[in-house]
Amino acid sequence: MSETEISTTWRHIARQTQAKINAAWWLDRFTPLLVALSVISAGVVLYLRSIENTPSLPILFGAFATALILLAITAWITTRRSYIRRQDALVRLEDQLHLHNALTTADQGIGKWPTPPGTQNINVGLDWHWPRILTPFAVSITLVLAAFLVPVTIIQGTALPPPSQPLAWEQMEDWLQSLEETELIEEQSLDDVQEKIEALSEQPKDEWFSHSSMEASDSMRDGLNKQIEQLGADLAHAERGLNAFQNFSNQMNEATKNQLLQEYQQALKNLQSGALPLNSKMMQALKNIDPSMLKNMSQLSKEQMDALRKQLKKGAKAARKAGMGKGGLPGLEEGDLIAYLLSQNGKGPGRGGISRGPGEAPISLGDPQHLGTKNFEAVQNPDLSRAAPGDLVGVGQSEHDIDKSKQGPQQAGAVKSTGQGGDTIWQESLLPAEKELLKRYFKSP
Amino acid sequence: MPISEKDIQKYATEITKLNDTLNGVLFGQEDLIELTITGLLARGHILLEGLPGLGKTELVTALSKALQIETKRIQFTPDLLPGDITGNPVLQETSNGREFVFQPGPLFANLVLADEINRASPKTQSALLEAMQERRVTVLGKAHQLPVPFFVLATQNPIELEGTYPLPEAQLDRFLFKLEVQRNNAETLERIVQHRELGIEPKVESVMDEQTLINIMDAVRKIYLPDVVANYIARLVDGTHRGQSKVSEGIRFGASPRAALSLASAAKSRALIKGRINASFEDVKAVAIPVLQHRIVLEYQARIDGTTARDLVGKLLAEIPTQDLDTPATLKEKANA
Repeated sequence: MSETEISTTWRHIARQTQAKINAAWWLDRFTPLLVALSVISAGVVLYLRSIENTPSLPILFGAFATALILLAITAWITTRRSYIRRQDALVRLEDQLHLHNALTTADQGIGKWPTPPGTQNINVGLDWHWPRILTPFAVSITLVLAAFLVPVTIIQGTALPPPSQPLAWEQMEDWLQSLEETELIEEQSLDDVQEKIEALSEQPKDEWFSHSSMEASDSMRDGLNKQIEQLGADLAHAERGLNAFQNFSNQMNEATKNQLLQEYQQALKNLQSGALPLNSKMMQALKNIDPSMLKNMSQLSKEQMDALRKQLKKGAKAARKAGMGKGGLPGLEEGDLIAYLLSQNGKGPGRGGISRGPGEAPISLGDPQHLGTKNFEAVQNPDLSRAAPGDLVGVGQSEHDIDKSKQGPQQAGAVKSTGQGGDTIWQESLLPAEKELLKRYFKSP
Repeated sequence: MPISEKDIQKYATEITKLNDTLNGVLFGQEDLIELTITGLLARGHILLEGLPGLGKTELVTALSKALQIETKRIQFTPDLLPGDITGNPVLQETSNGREFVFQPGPLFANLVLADEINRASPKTQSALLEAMQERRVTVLGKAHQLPVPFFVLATQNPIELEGTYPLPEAQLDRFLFKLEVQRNNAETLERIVQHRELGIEPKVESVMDEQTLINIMDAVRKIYLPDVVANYIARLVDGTHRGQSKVSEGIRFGASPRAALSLASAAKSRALIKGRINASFEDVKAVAIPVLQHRIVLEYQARIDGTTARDLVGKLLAEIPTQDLDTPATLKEKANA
């Protein structure tokens, strides 16, 4: 074997060693990325399978393959610094084969190349760590296959689209639609509200959900809601009044009829002057009924009255529906109201507020006939700790405690008082220095 | 210009003859003889440490006879003065009248055996070590060049510490090798008893002249030191310093750059002895312990634990890989590699 052939052989072996070590470095970086990609891919596949419009299989595999190629390139770029050169592989070979650095020396052109061993006998001292290499691949394949094979329930309408406009506008438009369908309300007033909504929607879209816009929308919605509630209540009163006059006027006394009449007229007044007034046709029909004749109900035929009531009832119902059920007298149906009115015998139903209820509240609790004005009760304050200054705690009678022990005459200069309590100690026991000390002590703040 | 393969083989043959001759005189000390020759060819001085009677002096004597070079022996004692080894000026009558004439001391020889060097005072030790480093002595302001080649083979006794002056670390650094002369085993002792007789010096054949020795020493300098081997030497020496290796935890002061130079020179010398044109990792490993063991200062705790410098250098060789390359986790080192 010529010198050239020997050098070629050694360099070939060195390149193989170099490739093996560099591939190991690449695998070292690629396998964790592969596992990460598989986890993500499995999640994506499961999600895509759970929605209705699943992309086709070739597209999924294409995306996976593209990601795989990108990861392979990333792994190659990030491990380039660790890659060994052919010269490093030569050093590895000569170290493992105990060639005393003859390969490096020969590669520098200084010495002769040693005779190469048989290809099968080359030992670079490195073996593949198969469990470490194969486990990530096995995990990745299992994950991806599992993602395709695991049964998945398709979720329909999984996500609500984001609101295209503020919710308040939609609510108001719905209410207006409902009111328009009743054909009771003046169209102009409905158009006015609609124009206000359109004025809000005409501002730039990116300001629809701004704080000021939302506040204005909510305020407008609340106002409209109250108007509709009021409308519903007035319509219900009007309809119930008509119903009572039409069907139960012969059972009512005069006071009840007057009360009903007043309420009916008040309801009409409200319906005419409210923010959502009745349309002219309906208003005219209600006005045509002579209030003075209502008590006898001879002005309109029974069919006409029924049609009028039906329309009012429909309007009240629509208003109650639009106003979230707050209109009218909730909880009292037609029959209940009449029975209630008859039972009150002229006192009439309340309309809320401080005058609600069947009449005046009694001035006293308990028996109003027996006010207890003739009873005498002593004022006592057994809890002396709570007594205020000046309170009379008690009255007693006792003798003065006079010291009656006899005392002889005493000279003026010999009069001596030892004092009592602490004074005795002060005068008899304490030395002048101690007195001074105590004075100073108690004098100081 | 690199040395030729032919010259290498020629010199290797000469060295083999020298090696065989010394092995014929000193039985059972093959490693010691090879390292001594390695040190000589690397132009280094050698410190031999061992108990009396193990053949240290005999090795030096046999070496001088085999190499046909001038040899002198200095027995170091506490009262030895620097002038006693370097030489003194002597007042002499000359044609010009009386003048001081320098009388060379025992240092003026090719091979100097400094017996029990640790018994001399630090002043005398310093004079010797200065001569070893500079290869010249200065007396009365005049420098006198020492002969070429110039080697010092110093000995010291590791057990008799009474009345000795241990060599400071800075001076130990000037010795290329510190070799420990080991006790002979029974088989070797039997050979000694059979082939040698007390009081009679063995006959040593001269196998190499002074010029050949100088040529071989020049050839050592031409041995190729690959970059990877130089890198290995650098990492080994660096590994003796704090924080550079696990082993360095037991080392207070690491080896100097002179240690790296010595390691490279000794590795080259060994490569030539083995008939190779280049130094290798194996050469570095073979000379690492004698080169490094006397150049590192152990930590107190390591000494308490009974760790020796030799142990630490051995561990360092095991820790520092020949190539400064990591192995990927997807590959594993073969157990039998």
